[in-house]
Amino acid sequence: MSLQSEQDVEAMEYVLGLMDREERAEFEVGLLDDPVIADAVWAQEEAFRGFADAVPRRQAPQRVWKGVEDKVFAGGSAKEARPSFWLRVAAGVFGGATILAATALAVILLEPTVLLEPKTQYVAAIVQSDDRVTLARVNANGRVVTQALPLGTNGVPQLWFLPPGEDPVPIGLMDQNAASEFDMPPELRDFLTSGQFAISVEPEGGSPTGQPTGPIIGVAPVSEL
Amino acid sequence: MVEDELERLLSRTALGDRRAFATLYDRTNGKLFAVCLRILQDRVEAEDALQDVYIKIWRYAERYAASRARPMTWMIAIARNLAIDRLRARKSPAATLSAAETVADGALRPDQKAMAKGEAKRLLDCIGGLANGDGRMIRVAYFGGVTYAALAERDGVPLGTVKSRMRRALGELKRCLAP
Repeated sequence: MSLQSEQDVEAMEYVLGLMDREERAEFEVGLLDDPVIADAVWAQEEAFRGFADAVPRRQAPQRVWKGVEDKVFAGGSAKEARPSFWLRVAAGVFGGATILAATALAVILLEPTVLLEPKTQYVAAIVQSDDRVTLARVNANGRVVTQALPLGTNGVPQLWFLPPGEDPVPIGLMDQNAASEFDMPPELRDFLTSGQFAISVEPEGGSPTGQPTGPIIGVAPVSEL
Repeated sequence: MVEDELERLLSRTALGDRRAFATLYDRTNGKLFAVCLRILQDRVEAEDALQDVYIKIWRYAERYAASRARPMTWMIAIARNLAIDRLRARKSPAATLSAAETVADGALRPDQKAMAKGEAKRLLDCIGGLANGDGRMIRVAYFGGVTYAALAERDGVPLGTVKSRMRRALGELKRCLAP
């Protein structure tokens, strides 16, 4: 099979949801970085659209529209605040040329909870040595939310906050299969944008010493949105 | 052309035009609700999912332009992605696969295939031309988001075997679809 065909088949696998979570995350990093791959994915969405076209239409009940109206037109404002954080993440991590491709794909790449959460105030995009990106988001009230982070090896991922010039502060153990939530210690919230988040691999139950004991697999500064 | 109108409505939605968004909803909810229902097989879940779909469309309307897809294709991708995520969240992989297969069996009556036009018809013809249930498996994947791992587990075959078989089928499909 030619390289083009291989790329198209891979795009088909992606669109059909055949990849497991890790493969999908890996593919998505490449996808965000390369507009050629992005075009291939959209081309396959077009190619498979016939399946959706063949399904007979079903009118949705009124309550769905009411719910949509309530959520997007709430408080009389014509448009709720746009989630601009992906523009910033894309610019910071992947470079300016791919912002458009990245943001176009954001609608079908990310876990829905990441996109529908309006209160994220700070974000750190942690790029690991194998180029996987994981986000840590912090709300206005100091709640930290991370994405699932499967490790290929033994050990558990532990999230740390690094205040400027200080020792790492443990934030919590990250779930490998689901989003996790933690509370930022209140005394550290003022230092968010001058500090960094880091992830280390620790034994079951987390670091026994209160400081990272295993390899640090990613570090990222915190940006304010 | 319908797609031209949808494109116009999406652009206006991106500018915050509520009426355009309401019109867009009227024009498209039939197809997107049907897709959510087909995937989730549950009215209430499909209604909840559809709400999230339109909220996402509202929030990301301005991102459409960079996608190079037709507007309805873009919206279907959003709907399918959201619905499959919900499906995966609520069921074990094995249960998801078996639900998806039930759906696929009922999915394509001969009259529906006959009604399909243009590219849709070509897809269905090419799918029908694949051997050994490969076409059905591809359709199941489209509506069910089943992974290679789930397929391998169900059939009791190595992951590598499932992957090569599917990749061969997808290659054939691609050659059939190519103009």
